[in-house]
Amino acid sequence: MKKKCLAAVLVLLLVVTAMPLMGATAETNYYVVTSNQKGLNLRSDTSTDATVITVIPYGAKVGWIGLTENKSWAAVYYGDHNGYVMVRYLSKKKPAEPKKETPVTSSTYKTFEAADYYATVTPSTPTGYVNLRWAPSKSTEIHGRYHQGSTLRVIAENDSWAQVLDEATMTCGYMLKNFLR
Amino acid sequence: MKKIIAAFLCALLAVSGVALAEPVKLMDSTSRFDVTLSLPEGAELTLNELQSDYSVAKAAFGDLAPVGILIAPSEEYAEMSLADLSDEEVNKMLADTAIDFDEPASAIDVTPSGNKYIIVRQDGTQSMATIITIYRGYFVQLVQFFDEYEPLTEADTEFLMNVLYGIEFVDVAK
Repeated sequence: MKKKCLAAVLVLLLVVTAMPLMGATAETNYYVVTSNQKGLNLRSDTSTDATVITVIPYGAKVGWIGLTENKSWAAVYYGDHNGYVMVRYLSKKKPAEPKKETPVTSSTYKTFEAADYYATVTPSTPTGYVNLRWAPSKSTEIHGRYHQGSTLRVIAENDSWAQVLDEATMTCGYMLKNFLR
Repeated sequence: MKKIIAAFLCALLAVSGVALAEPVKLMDSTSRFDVTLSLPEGAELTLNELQSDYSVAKAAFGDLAPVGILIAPSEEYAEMSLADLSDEEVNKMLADTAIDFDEPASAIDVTPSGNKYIIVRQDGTQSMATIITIYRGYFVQLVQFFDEYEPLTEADTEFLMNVLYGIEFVDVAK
């Protein structure tokens, strides 16, 4: 089972890098969200080697132009500038003001409330992953790993955990909300 | 300089009785460098995808726990290495990495070639280990666990470290 899950995760990793951001249109605005709450480089081309045109502040709104061919970058506009940014640092939701993080408890079975929205898995690092567990506790078995860009359907949540459904594999489990955007 | 580093790595692994296989390219070259991996002879490398800005691979060696290798660029730490970050930033990164572990043990250490890295592991019913480092704006993450999360032995950890030490960023002549 676990081999299949891990294989599925690897496939998912490859697939999601080819998935365009859901619902992105020319009128859609996105916000810059970086894990270190610093600005994001707007570049002249789709590479971290390209010239930096300007730095977009954390939380600033950018206008969406379109996803690039390799799906890791997006063409956007910010003020008078057009350029490219890495997709993983964009969110449809405006981030809250930077604040001191509250510690996540190891497990919480606090009452879950029903929810119904789609969220994007955003690990704390570009290479990171987020575990999917069968119960809202870090001591329970992991039955999936999700990397940057995976879309999951949140069907219930409490302060720390979300119950999610992976509609691609019809796998249900629990994931820390820290990593869902 | 890179010849000196490569020679040092060869010497390190030779002392531990492990011969090096030919380096394998993990990423297509950026304009600045190639990323290669040298593994002990007999180890197998599965490269899932070779792109200009993202690499997913898996290294295996006999019955030892396999090591997943993920390399991707970071805009948050563009041009930086882990040693360039403040203690606060490194500790936050360690905390973020460990947050999804149940009972993590962690450390911050330095490779023989002088690159800082973070290692987080947990033992017990779900044994796994992960190493994170940043080098010249690229995140490098290694993840090691058995399919059923059986305990990791010293030999497994030695293989994990060999993989880390075998990764090299080779400057590309412009």
